[in-house]
Amino acid sequence: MFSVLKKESRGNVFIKNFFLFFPPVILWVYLFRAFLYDQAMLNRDAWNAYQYINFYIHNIVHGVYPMWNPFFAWGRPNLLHLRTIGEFNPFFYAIPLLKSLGLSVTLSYFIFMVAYYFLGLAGFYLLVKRLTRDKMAAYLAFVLLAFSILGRILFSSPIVILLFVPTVWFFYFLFAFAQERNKLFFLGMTFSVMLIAITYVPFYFLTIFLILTICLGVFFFRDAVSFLGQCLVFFKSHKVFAGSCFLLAVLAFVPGFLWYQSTTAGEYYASGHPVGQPAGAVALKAIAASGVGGWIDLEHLLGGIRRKEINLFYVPIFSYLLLWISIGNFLSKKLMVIFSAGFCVLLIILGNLTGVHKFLYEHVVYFKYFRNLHFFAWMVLVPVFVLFCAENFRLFMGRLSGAGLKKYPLLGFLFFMHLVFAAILYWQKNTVSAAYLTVFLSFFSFCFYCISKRPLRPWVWAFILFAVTVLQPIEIFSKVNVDDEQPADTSSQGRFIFNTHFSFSRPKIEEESDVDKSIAFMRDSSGVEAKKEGGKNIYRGTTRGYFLSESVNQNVLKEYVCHKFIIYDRVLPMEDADFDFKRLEQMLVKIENAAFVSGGYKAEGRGDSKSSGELPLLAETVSGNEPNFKVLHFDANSIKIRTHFDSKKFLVYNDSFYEGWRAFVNGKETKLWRANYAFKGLWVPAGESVVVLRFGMWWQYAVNYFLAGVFILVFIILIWMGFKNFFGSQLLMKTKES
Amino acid sequence: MRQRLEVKDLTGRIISLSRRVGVLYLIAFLCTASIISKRNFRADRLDYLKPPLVKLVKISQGQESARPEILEPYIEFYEKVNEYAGSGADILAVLGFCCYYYGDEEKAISFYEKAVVLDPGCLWPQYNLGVIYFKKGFYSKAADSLEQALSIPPDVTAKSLYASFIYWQLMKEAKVLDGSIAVGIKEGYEGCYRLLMLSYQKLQDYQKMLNLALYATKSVPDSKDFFYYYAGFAAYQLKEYRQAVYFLLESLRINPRQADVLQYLGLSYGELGEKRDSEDALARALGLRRSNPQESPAQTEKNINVRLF
Repeated sequence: MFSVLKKESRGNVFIKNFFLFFPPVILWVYLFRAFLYDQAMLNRDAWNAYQYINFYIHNIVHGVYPMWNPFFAWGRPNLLHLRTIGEFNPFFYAIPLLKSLGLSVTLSYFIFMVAYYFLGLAGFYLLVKRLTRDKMAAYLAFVLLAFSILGRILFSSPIVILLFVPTVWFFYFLFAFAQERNKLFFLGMTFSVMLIAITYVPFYFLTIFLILTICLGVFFFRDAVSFLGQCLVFFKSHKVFAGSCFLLAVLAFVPGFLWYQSTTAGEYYASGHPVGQPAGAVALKAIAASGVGGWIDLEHLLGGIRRKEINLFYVPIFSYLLLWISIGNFLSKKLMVIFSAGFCVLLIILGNLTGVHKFLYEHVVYFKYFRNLHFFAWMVLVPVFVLFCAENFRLFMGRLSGAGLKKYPLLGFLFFMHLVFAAILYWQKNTVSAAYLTVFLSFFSFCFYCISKRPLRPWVWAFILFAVTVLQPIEIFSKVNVDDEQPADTSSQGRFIFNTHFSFSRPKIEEESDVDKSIAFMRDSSGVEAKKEGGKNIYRGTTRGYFLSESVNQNVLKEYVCHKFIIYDRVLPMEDADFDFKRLEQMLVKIENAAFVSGGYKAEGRGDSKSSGELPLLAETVSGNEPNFKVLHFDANSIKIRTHFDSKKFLVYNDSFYEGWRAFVNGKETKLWRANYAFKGLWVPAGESVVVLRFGMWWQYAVNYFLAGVFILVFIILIWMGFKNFFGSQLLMKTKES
Repeated sequence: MRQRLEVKDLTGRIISLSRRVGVLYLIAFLCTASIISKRNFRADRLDYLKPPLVKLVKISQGQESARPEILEPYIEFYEKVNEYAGSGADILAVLGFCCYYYGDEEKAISFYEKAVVLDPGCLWPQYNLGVIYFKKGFYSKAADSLEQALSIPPDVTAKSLYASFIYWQLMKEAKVLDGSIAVGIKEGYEGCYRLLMLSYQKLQDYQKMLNLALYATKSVPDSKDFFYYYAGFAAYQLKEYRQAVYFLLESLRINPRQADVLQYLGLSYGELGEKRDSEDALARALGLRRSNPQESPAQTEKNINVRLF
């Protein structure tokens, strides 16, 4: 198609590509423009991702690797959320860079996400180009995917995009490496694997990889064996390089492994995961519920939209039309591999509709550790479907070009197929008018291509394809995105807040809607009812925090946890086995002057020699820095306080108790007790003392900072190698020409 | 030789056809269809289609206005339930409810008529059918349905509601599973009496109206004033003026601020020749109408509507 470009310099190619890709990018930004002025609707998952990423970035920029999050659910370990986003991804540093240019946090985040999405699309374009060896098919695949459901996923489940981008690039580098054994591609593969490995669900990728390996092994057995042989040769000739890459890939799995280890104690609880088991384990029923069987609806698939709701698998209608007119294409091995891989994934994501997922759950260990089967639909099914369309398009265009005298019967065939397709659309209820226009324009475009005496200029044909593809998405996204825009009064001010500063009290947030509740929960809120959403529990935090919120009156708890610090004169031991929540509730109502302490505390303790009768009835709450109590330092992982008590006191910090927290008083490590069932407490002596509470061991921080550095380094090397490769090949081309 | 060539040609064509993409689609479709559990598929579809029931309950309770765009998903969902689970009286009754508020009264009547055949032991389909007929002006049909509804004992209705999973889900959403469903049933029977009374009035069957009103004064003690008024009204129409005065005075004793009652009391006194009492009652009626034009037993008609339970 674009063979003429082969003779052109890379610079010219770049300019031509720019003009080729400029319209789809601009149109996409226009359709999703709400994000530019902070009006984009974010659902709960998108909120979470936004909060997790920004919380991490804010801390890391200030030199703190946030292992703990004191603002969520009364304090909880942050590792799960770091695993969700894959915190070492060096692309995240674009956010503070954009912020330093004067952009708001929100806009910086959105620009980063959109750019990252297009980076994935660029990878997809290159992958399709590698596989089909046809630029036009690759361009069509790019446009189809850009205007598919993936564009919306950005604002609903950005985690999928964070997984999709490295996955696409991995396969690009893999196929590029299969075609030419180049260090760049191998390092690219390694880096993609590293990015995937640091997320908590590398299993989506693993599944796709295994399925594709099997399919390739079946249909391209000889090539696969030959490729493996060539890989061995490559490894032998680049032992150090290959060994380093292997080591880097293994290293990237360390954070995930450490997180898994930390959850095995059962101190962390996430809804949908069985209590007492590692937080990763998910019940089969919960996974089956995330199957996509309910979405199978021809009307919704073809219509793309129903009652302003976009289909889970939405792809522009032109792709269905392409498949329809391509039913006469001859099957190729390539088509079979793409189809088989997609079909296998489909059988898995149908959940309990087929026995495939149940079988894998029972026999393949890692299938127990991830749910959200519909992520496969977005990460794999839609791109594979688009790839299948692109390959079919290539084959069909081959038939059109080589039709010769048979072009008139082919035109008749085209007319018939388009007519039938239009009839099917008419038969559906929710067809948008642009769909008919797509069919009409598609017919004329193919006819025009077929009967034109001179071959069409590639850029003209590319523009025609772009126009035909985007007609229906324009109508669909215009309808859906406009309806999704956030009302002005709830935007800007309160929407994108994540906590970073210490405060002595937690705000009481009474929220009405489910989304707001979720947001309140993520802020430093005392509202324990915020953990409920639509009758379902969405708790993610410490197990004891969960049990406490389930066992004690929520209004009482809400009042109590408003205070971050409470100073008691005495403690009462009470173990979990016979914990009296009613008694605790009574004590918490007035904040009586005795804290319940668990975890092997022996006798009733008192701070001084006064008898119980002489002690104040109520404990002292701290509402701000005072002469006898001052917070000297605070960050996500630690807090430093200076106290000046007249007698020995038991200080309760209403931040969740969790394994890994340590306390130091005047530089000496002190026993940290679990107070009032779920919080931290310690004895502080009379007189001036400096109390430090810290989460995690030094080596954990060292490992994480080291990994952050490694990721940046590998990324820089990859970019450097990429440039070297690019300019090196250009130089070679010039030398050959001269 | 020629035959052999033809066979070879045909075989070649078949092989060529079998290597087309369309055949792949067909095989994939057949494979998927054969391994998919239809039962689970239906359950998944229903889970996917199921809208939050809270809005439907709110519409029934008059807390939310019924707009077609709100009702569309419910109609689609319950039609699917009807398709998958087979026609049940409860499903049809809920569909009738949705269609009525959607604005498709004919369809609503059709669903309710089927529902009452399938489950004659539930008040609500009969009652709602009566309401729709009444609103459409088919008073005779409305009276028949409402008479049928009144013949159903309340405990049979309660049993029918609790036995239905469809109703159970809705009642759970309405938070009436604790037994307060009985309050709704009681209101339903009261509504039945009132509407039947109005149907008889429209049909000018005053004897039946009088009998029903007198019966209702005992069955529905909370609304004695209303039924005494209609007893008085029916007696007036039957020219039993002395009886009419007695019933109307009984009604006024319970609620003295009823303009309609005073009006017919004045008219009855007039017919009996008691001019002074007549003028006095009519003047009071006029005064009440001026001060509070809304308060009237005749307003009942507007307050009665189709309900879920």
